[in-house]
Amino acid sequence: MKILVIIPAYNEEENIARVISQAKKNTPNVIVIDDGSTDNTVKIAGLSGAKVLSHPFNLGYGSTLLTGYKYAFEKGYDFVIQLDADGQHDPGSIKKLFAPIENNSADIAIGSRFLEQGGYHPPFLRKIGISLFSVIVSRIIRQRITDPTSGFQAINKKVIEFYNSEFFPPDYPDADVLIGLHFAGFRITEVGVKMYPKQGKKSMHSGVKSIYYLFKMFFSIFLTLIQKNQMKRGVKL
Amino acid sequence: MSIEVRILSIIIGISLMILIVELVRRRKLREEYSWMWLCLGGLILLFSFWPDLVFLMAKLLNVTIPFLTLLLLAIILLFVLNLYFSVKLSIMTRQIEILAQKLAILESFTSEKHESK
Repeated sequence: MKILVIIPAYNEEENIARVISQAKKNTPNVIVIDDGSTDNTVKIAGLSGAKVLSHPFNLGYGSTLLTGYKYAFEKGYDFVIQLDADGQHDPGSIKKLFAPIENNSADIAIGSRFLEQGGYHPPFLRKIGISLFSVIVSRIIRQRITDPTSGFQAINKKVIEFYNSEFFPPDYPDADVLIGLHFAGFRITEVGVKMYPKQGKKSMHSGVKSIYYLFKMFFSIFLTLIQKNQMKRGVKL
Repeated sequence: MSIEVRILSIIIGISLMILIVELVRRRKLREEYSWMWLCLGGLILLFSFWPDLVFLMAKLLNVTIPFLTLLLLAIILLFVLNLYFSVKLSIMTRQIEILAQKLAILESFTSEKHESK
């Protein structure tokens, strides 16, 4: 059973070492996908004992994850666990998150900050955004999803293969991906995990970008809905 | 605005929207470049459903022929779009340059390895 931990990172020199060392306690194969960082992220990640794949320039969060999935696919990994490099996701929750994937009761497990008692709660506007997409996704897939924007996930080989088709979006893979996975017949589950507030840096959803994010997400969900039948048939998009 | 012109512009607006959605669906157009074309389609529809907007703008700008305000708006929009694409193109040119350089250096490393064997 080969498990790979993917950590997408962009200018995370402050947090990356801690995240890697904690993740390594759970599984030895940790890979950092650097999205063209301009600080010492690559150097520190290498010194912390992770394998580092580096984009020559910034490509975006989705593309960074996809590089990791492609690597996992090429190297024949059976499972992928992804967590963010900013220290928001607690690597101590990896075991709990991985459990439903390991016993094959789901194909993808999403780490939800809202299912964990006394966990951190995001700022007001972000919370509104999350609940909006939570309602939309839950309605469409007829299953309660509390944290559709969570980047703390575990997936099995079938999902790794699915992501390696043309399906995966390059910028913000969130709610639209979950809906696509559901239509393609994958089993989704949520697991309560610990999350911490973002350390220092600004969120990737800020300013003008958050307006684009909203547009993109609605448009992408709309596109996924009109392609529902194609997804069901498992046609490569 | 005559009814014929309005019907024609509504058809153009709707066709543009459908074309954009279809292009994105077929992955010929990326979502990040689609929003501006959808906005343009929306704008065309807006003006064809409320032609009074054109007259209001002409009044505000003190233009005697309302049609000219539309023309002016179209030129400004096309100008902005072109500038936007020039910037994007410049970024991409730079990225291709970096990729080519990295690849060249990488190739020299692998051929050095072969030679040392």
